[in-house]
Amino acid sequence: MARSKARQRQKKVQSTSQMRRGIADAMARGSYQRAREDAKALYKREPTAEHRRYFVEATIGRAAQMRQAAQPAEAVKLLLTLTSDVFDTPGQVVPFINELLLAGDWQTADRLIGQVTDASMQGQLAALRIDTAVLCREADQVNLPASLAPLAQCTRQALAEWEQGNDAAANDGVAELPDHSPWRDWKVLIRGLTAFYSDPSSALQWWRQLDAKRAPAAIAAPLWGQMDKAFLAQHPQQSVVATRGQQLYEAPWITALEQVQQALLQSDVTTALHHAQTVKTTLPADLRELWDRLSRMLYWAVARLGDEVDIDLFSETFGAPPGDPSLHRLQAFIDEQDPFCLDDAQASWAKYEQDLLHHHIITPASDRDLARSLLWLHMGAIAEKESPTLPGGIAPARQKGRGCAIDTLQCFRRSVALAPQHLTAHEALIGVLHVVGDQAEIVRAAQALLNSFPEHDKALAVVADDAFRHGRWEEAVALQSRALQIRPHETMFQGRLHTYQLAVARLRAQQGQFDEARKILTSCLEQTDAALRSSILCRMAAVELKAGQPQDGERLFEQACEAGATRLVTVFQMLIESVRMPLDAEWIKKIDREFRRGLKAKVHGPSVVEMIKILEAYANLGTPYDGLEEHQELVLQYLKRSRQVRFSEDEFITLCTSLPKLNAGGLLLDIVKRAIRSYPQQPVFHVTFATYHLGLPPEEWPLDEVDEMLHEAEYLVRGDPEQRELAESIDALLTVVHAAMEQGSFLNSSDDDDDEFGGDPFEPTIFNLFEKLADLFGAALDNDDPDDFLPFPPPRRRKKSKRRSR
Amino acid sequence: MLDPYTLFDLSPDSDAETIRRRYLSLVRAHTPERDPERFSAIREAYEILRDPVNRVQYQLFEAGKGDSIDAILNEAKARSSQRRIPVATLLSWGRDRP
Repeated sequence: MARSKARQRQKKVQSTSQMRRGIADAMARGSYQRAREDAKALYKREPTAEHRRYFVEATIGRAAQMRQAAQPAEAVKLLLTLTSDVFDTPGQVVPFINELLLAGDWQTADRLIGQVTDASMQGQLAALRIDTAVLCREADQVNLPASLAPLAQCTRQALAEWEQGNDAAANDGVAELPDHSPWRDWKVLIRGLTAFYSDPSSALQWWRQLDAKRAPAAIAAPLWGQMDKAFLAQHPQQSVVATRGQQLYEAPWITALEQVQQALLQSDVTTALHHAQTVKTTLPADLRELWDRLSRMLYWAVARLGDEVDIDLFSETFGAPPGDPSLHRLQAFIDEQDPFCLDDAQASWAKYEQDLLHHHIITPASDRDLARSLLWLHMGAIAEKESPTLPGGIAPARQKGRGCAIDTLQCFRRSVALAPQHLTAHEALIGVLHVVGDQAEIVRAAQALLNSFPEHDKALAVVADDAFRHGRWEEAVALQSRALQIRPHETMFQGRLHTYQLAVARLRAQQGQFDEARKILTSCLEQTDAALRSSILCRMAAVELKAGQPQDGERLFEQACEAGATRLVTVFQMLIESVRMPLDAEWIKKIDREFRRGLKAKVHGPSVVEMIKILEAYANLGTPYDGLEEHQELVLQYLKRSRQVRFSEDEFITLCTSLPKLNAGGLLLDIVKRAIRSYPQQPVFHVTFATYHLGLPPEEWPLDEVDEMLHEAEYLVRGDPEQRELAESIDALLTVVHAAMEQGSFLNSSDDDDDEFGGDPFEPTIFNLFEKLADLFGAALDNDDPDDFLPFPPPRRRKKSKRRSR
Repeated sequence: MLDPYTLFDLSPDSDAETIRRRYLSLVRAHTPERDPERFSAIREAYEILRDPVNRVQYQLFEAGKGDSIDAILNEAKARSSQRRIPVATLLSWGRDRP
């Protein structure tokens, strides 16, 4: 009320021209109610024709606003206040009747049209009736005059066909519209619309025929303006037309998708999900497929960047996808991103594995168990990252809160059980069993693998090795021959077959089949290289001695001594073969005497290293013979006297690799210390020092010293790609040491805080790691003596590491 | 990478023979000489679909991973530009003539 009074006071002081300007401004900015009040006041003050025109124009404008605000009845009511005066302002007759028609009062409009006598105006109003008949809303269509309704309906139907992309049907629909009538503009509009997307210039040709003052031209203008910038520039309502034309290219879902894009660029998946909700509410039904794509894409974005909150938001926005009905997989992916949540990740995968069991996630359904097998394999890999499997000789570190609920071995066993046809699962299981060093389990796993993959060369080699260990030499030869047929150029397989054949030759000699034994040995001798001739000649000598051919036997033994690098080593080989055959006691005594005599002499570095390698091979094979323990003791004593010997770096590496198998703890430590003193830049010695101590009971671990050694080794291998495998092994050992250091003691563990534990999990795959650990802790493969071939997998000689200075 | 099943226009429960036939028809249509990029995409997809382990591995750990917001947005823009303006909007332009 106060504001109205203030306005009236203001009006009192306004001049007529000021009021006119005010009315014009108000109408220009769409304030028709205000304009109407002012025009009414102005007309009251000065009742001129011009002021009446202001009033009528403002009233029509206000009525239009009401109609647009879904208040057509109020609009009509307002318009009806003008019916008696409108003919006094001829310029407003057509807009007035137009608004009346649009508001749905056909009766009043037609009555007023009947009063129009001007022919030109009659033509305009006839067109207006037709346009409004097409434009009117569904609710008003019942009020249409019968003369207009059918063609208006026909035109609207044609437009609907066009919207659906049925251009031919749209054109056919308006074919019946008469050409010599105001209906023609609608036909022309639709002809242009159907050409617009395929032949824009043709569309423009059609639209140029439109009456610019009519509705069809107003409809065509925004589309026309998008193609013809000159048309747009000249249009009196350029900005409105341009804005409407933009709707061709702008859509709320595009804007929302752009916001999703921006959020993802900032790695802000939460905001991206919020914007996705806008996409959801605005995306048209026919673009639903894009929604599904967005769902899948954001699923992986959450997996990569999200957290639990985002899982909820994702679920709220998209629901659970068919491939992850409980979103356990998504949770697992998120957990896997955090090295400290690997146990949670495994737990989530385990839940997802149950989802696979109870939902139709994997298609075809026959792949379901394979999928579960793959998940168990993945869970095993996670367990391995969380807490690496340690070699059998190393005491396991038990740390509260550390490690996954299901360990690597269990996971891999489950994986194999679910899908015996899944080769990778078998290989992973054998790999981890090898790290543990459980020979019996390795053989069982290899036999299971062979059930599904009978031609798996490495599994054949494992089983062949097992047969050999158990004295089934012929079976070992047969299995190894199969493996060699599969991989004929594999030197390791060739070497093993050779070893097994030599064992068969001994068996034949023991059975009295000397010719057969000779044949095998001769064949082996022909195929072998110079380094192995000595060993085979010893065996040939033993066969001749066994056959009662002492002269031949002794001759062959002497040839063996000439072929061997040192006589002491050849004598040792001959002694072993003599005992294993066995030969005449006198002969054995003779050779034994020579062997002991050799050991009493000054220590010869290469000889002791070779003998240690032979003993290591027996330890690995687990095939004892009478006197092995005594021989081992003698050789170790010989080694103990080697303080003055300057071993080469390679010899030290061989000793460090072989001695752990001979249970020569104190001697090993002594050798390692000498090796470190002589070759401080060789990381293998530091690692051996650490593994020696980690093989002791945990309470005896000198943690600081071991930690220092491993860090030194870590420093030495750092950045050297050739030492990457060793670096991974060092990481594994450091994991154990750090765990022990954190707890203070394995025996009296009370500290639950593992926040600072570990560091990053291993980057390389688990299978690589197994191989590397096996290399590190396995026995050295010696190609110089066929008996030294190890079962599975073949450890390698280490190359010299690059020297580097700090 | 495009989803292999989408590329092959097959449902995920298609059997091995169906996948093989579809592959052969696709490589005949998109030879390496005529359409090398498409050919290598078909090959890559077939490598996934032909082997059960790869196929399941893909379903478990990869399916849907290759899409990007950029690709989705481009598709949305392309399809929106071909979309017809709703008739209701057109008629409103006629009713509310500037």
